[in-house]
Amino acid sequence: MSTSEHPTGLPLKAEQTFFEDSAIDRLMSMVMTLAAELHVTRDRLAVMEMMMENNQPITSASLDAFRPNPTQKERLNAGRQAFSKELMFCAIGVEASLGAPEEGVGKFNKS
Amino acid sequence: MFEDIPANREFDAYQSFLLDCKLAWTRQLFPVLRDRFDVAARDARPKTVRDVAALMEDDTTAQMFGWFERHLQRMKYSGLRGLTVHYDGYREEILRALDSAVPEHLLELHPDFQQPEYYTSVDIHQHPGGVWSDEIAGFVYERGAQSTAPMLKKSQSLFHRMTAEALTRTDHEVKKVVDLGCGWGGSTQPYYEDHPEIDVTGVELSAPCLRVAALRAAELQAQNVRYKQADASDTGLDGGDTDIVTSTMMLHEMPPSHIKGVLREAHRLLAPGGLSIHLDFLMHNDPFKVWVHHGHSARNNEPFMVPLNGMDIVGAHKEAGFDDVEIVPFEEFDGSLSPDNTAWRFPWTMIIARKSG
Repeated sequence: MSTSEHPTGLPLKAEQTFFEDSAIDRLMSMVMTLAAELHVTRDRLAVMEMMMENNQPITSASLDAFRPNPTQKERLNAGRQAFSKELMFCAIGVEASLGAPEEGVGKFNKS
Repeated sequence: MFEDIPANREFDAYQSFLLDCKLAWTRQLFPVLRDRFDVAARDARPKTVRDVAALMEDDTTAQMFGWFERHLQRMKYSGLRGLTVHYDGYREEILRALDSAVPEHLLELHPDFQQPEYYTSVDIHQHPGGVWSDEIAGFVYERGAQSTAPMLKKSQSLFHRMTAEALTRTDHEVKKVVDLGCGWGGSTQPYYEDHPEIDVTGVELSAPCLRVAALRAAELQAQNVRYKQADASDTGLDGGDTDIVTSTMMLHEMPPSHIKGVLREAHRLLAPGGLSIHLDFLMHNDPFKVWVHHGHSARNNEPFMVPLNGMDIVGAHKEAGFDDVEIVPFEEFDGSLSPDNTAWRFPWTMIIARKSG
């Protein structure tokens, strides 16, 4: 919402924050706003490709009203789920590969 | 009912993306948070919510967990393609549908109705303006409820489960039901749709919600339901002849003093032997889950969850005149109560009482 006014006119409460520096909270909001819009754009592009494959006319209205068939729906869902899963994986803080041992690599140096 | 609102692929894509992120928060982020808590608490198990909060204060996963809970919900309602933002563009179409003729027996509204201050002071669920101040708020709330608990495929199944729980716990024929805080009618519908022998009254503060509920009942040509704008603690309904008084997710939206009033009203409404059954959220036996639950209360603008969780709800029922009170876990979907279910879930609980026969 791009307004800071409440519909009832009551004053809004102070910002609710979760990180030590509220700049991180705000940056996270920007990242997620952009991620959501990127998904919307990716979805629109995928829909456009599907319609072109079927020689359907491409207009703004036809894109808005697009209803995928079961196969198309499966493809679109899989793309969205892969993207959201990857994005949320970043929040977990889990490494994706095996790093060096905490005690160093000296033990591998055979004399 | 709302056929004039056109499909919008971009809105659907946006909302589906947020729901997927919420599912990942539920199924992936929460179990990792639990694991991190278990590691942090290995040497000294916290006994209180305050202890858990102190232990997890600097944990990045805990901060992420809180942030996503707050902001996925904010985006759902108030983001660029949020529910209130999107449907504001179809205000005319929604109001046209809401203005459709509804049979008089279905709906009783009071234009001068004074909302309680506790209700208007907080935007419940982060719904800007609450579910009462905007004419289309009931419609928006109904659409939003589809993704409130992301592990539920459809909120509808929860309402059917709750109705079945109530009906199987009565030991005599049910002819009359009062559904307190019925919202847009999701909890009322299984009674009137599946049980034509039952007369059900839905009571609700919000006129915009009641208009959606009545419109749906009209569409289904229901003859055995009516919706009334009233406070659940002072319904104005006849007393002493109701077989079941129920509510679904209502008690946590009011202060304890008001809950006590609701319990007294439920006792007044019930016939001797009648059943009082409320579905709500209680969590006591696990400080980690209590911490998560109390955090949700703040993050989702549901501040009365904490006082509900802290009050003596059994004692409050007894004060209201009930003498047989049970607290029973509620299985919102098959397997939800299993220890194998490591995903986040609301601590769904039924509070059941009977009026002496």
